[in-house]
Amino acid sequence: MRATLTNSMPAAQTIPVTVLSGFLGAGKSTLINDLLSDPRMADTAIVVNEFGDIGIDHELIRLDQRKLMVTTLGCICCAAGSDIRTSLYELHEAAAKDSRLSFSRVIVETTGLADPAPLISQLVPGYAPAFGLRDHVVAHRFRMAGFVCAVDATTTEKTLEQHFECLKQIAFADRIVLTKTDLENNADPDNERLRAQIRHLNPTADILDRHDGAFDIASLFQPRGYVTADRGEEIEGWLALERVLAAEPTESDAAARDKRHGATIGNFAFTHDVPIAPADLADFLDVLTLMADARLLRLKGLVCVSDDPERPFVLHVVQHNVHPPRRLNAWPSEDRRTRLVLITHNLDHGTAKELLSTMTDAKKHQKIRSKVIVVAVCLLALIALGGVLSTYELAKAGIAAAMPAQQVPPSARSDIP
Amino acid sequence: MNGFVNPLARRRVPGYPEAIDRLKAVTREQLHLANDIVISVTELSCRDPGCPDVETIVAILTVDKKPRMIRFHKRIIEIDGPELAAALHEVES
Repeated sequence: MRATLTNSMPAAQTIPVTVLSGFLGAGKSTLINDLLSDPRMADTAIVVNEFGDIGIDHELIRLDQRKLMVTTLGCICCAAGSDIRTSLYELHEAAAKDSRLSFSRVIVETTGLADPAPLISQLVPGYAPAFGLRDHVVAHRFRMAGFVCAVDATTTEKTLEQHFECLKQIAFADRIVLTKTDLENNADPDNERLRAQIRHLNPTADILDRHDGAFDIASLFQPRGYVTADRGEEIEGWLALERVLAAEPTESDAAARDKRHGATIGNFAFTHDVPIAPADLADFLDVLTLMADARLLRLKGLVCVSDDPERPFVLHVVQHNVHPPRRLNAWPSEDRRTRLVLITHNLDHGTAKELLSTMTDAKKHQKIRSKVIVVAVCLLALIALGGVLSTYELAKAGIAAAMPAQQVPPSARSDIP
Repeated sequence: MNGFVNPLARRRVPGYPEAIDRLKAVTREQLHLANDIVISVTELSCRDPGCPDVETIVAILTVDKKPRMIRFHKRIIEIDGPELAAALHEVES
């Protein structure tokens, strides 16, 4: 029997859950790191959701051992079941077993491609039915307490034209934080056009600037009530439609997860055991800078470089923005391999593979380049030799023409009329 | 505030919000729907082999009635008014 998820416990006794959304590369992990370094947010548990087969985001979040974090691969928004409820239940169980792991708030960082409707319908009472004890425990212990959307000031205008998920993420938010407003390549320095566009999609959310002097990360994630009715008719319509779609017969969870993001969205994971030469990394970054465009939705990862293998580089690329690589003082975990994740839009597998191979096959490319240079030099030499010979022939012909007629052999004059 | 308006600045391309408003208006007009009836327009992606990449759903959600849904195998911004009107007539007939 299905029961509707309800929350009977008073708000003060439940643990607030705030969703942090935002399109790929909007700066969600950076916000999480800001939050975790703030002592006021010490008792925060994190749920990180990543799109793809290899988790990178959890490595990029600085977490001390007292904090709890659950990582889910795939996409919370796609799961036909209740993945987010499973994650919350895991947190609840971990804290129940070990009091040192107790927490008083949860932040759920979604993948950048997340459609918020299925996720919100799992968290807000009255939408998705509860399956079993686990869902009832979650409904009893947790409450939705805010939806923050990170908006990249440099790319969102273009992203909104291509990706409906980006529009939905903004529309669902009760707080929107503009990121990368300090970057010089921002074509709208005062962000007036972007703010107007956001207002059109979401007239009531607070819009904050992460680089504003008054910005306070703790206030951004301060628990409050999240009432879907306050978010507008569009949100209620999407949630109602989500309920209808969820009730339709579906395939397995895994199939549903794979289906939601379309064939045009690809994800490629890359791991490499051998440290990369600094020159090869530089070559790779050069290629990236030349080719990065809207098809490269996101590249992120850690690179082990041979000059100091204990200090990896963190790479971040968002569409056409190749951010300068940052060197960490140490690896965030025991795993010392180079790991990169690419999320692409309309970019074929071969091109993505070729792009990644420029880092590891640089020696091969060097050899090919050397061979090409040798062949080119040989060709040039041949051309030059040919030129010399032609000049010699021409000079010889010129000398012959300049010779007096009587010196021309009779056989050569016989065909002259 | 900077009063300078850059004449070379990129103009915003009419996109999803305008297309959604248009599809809702056509639906309301064609089916003579009252303003309190919710019309929801969403775009979903699909990776199923043999299935189109993108699906748009226009749903008419009426209390105590089975939802009516029209599906297009294209993006929201690619659906024009006459195409939606024809699909609505087909569903209603």
